[in-house]
Amino acid sequence: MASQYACPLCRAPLRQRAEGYLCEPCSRTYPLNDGIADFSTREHYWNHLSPDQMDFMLEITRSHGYRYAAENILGKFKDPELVRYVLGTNRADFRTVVPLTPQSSVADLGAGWGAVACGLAPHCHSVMAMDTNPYTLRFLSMRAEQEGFANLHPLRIDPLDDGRLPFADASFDLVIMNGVLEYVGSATQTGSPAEVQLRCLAECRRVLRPDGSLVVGIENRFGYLYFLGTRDHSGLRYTSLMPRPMAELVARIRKGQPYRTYTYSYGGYRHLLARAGFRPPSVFLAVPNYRDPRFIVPADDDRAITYLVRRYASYLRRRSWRLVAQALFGHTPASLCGAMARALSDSFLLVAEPAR
Amino acid sequence: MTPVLDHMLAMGVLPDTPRSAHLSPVKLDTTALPGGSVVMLLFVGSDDEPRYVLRMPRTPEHPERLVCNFSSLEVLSGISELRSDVPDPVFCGHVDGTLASVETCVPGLPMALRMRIARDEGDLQELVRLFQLMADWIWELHQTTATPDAASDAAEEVRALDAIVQLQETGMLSEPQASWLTGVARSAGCRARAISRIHGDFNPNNALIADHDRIYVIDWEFSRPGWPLYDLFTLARTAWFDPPGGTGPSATRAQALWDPRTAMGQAFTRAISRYEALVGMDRADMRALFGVYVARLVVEQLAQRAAWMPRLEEEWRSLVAVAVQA
Repeated sequence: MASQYACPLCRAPLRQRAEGYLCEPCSRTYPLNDGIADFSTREHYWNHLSPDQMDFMLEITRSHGYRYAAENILGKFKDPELVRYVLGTNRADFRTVVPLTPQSSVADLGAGWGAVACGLAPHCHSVMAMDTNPYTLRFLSMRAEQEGFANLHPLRIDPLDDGRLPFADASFDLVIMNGVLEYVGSATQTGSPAEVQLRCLAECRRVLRPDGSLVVGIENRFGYLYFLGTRDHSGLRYTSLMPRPMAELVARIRKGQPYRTYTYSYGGYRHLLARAGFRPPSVFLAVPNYRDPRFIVPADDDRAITYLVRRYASYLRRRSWRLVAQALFGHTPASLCGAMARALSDSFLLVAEPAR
Repeated sequence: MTPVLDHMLAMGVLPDTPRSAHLSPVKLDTTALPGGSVVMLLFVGSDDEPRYVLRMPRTPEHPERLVCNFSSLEVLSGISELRSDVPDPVFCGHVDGTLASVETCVPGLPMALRMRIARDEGDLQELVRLFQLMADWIWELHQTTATPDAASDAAEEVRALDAIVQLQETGMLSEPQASWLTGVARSAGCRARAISRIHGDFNPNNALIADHDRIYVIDWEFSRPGWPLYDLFTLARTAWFDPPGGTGPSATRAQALWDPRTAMGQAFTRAISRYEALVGMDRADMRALFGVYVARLVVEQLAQRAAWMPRLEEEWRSLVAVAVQA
């Protein structure tokens, strides 16, 4: 692996030493901590649990296994739904609609607890699971070991806001950002979040092979749940739907913080990716959402959307929802069904290749 | 398109599909348990309906179920009475290093969807009617595939006895209950003439209903030679519909299933009476055999650490209580 590592600061190739990886031009050594390469250059902590809770979690993971720890510790500390989020294997089901082969080398950016990385590991050559949090990386390392995934390599990086991945150009066939891009911009306080996201996407493009693909799982800025009052990533209601300056103002008044978690619409993502140097993406609707994609439907395939909507709309459990869905989609032309689904879908999966 | 679909087109494995056709994959909601498959509908060209179903194993090291589904479809498509009721097998093999199978897409909607929105007495009657149709289909499957096979019969008996022993070890079964169920499992065995191909997971998600009374049966991943009663028991256990006002005159679902005063109880009784003659057991023994079946299910789910285990455990206790009462 050392051959493909590059200094995140100067991008020079790194030399492997007993204590870590050495960048000769910078005279900087990136250490190995518990076998996990640490390429971070600044402190940043984001996680569902506090460091103390994570220490306990790791102890149980070591002694009783990761599954036991997730089911019995994580569920106690936090929302039991988080257990499903951590252990759910179908989160990586997008693999069936992306160009993944047994020969693919994959970068999972913001790997977190490893649901995506562990879901992909059996189906590809290697997975580099990158995150800023040393605790979840240790959890992920133990999880991979307990599952027997020798091709899964956790490593610590700086926040993606910095656009500093420790790899040489054209290192990966697939770069995954599942539930991550919306947070890019929140680890820095300077520059527009959109510009920070562009910088991050450009960095993804750099480490992708020319025929590789970027896969982004992310919410729709205008997802139907936001209209129903669901809180967005800022923790506030309706801010996602507001013009950015208004969202910024509301966030500062209500939370005393800037609004830096940008999501976009169907068209907005296409525009963002084009600006970052990607070809027009293949877009999929993830239903109910990209975190638990029970259905994945090509967003531009109106007849497939209509087929599914009509098939299931008549069988929604709640009668009122059923009637609304039937009225909306029952006799609507396929093109309109598709347009409504694209406009209001909860989340998207975007698959984009670098522009030539 | 994905590499798998590209290669499938290039290999020409999809009949009536030109190599230049556009394939549009739609991933469906399927169980995320290890060993299962990811299932996708494939729309071809500008078709309004999906033409094929593509399956890929969730974990490459466990392709058994996917292969079992395909080989079962191959067997069934050779039986004239059944071939129109199951998908046609199209392809199974490695594509660009990934195992995949393709079968034709059959019409209809899962009975489970109808159960989901059932609310009143009319819905109950409709579900009972569908239950009977499906029970008839299981009988048809048995009639057309029955093969006296002492080895398969003995294997079923061994599985049943193993389950009883395991449950006794976990403390979910007392000594008298275990010895009683063991006796039933043994007497149910040694009747090789009751061995046929069974579906193995005959639940309302795997029975598609089209045109009011047309049944298509999918997902043959657990199919094997076995006691056909197991399919009927699976159907009865999973196609249960609580009538308005709860389980009617019975206290629990398990009781209601064996209670001829309930609509589902009547339908179930009618269905199992065919098998009573076949295996030479009376109603009490059949009820106990149902207990043996649930014991096996509990053991399988314990091994898989299924999320719905607590619910099954509750059902199991209720069932044992009913059986002991009898």
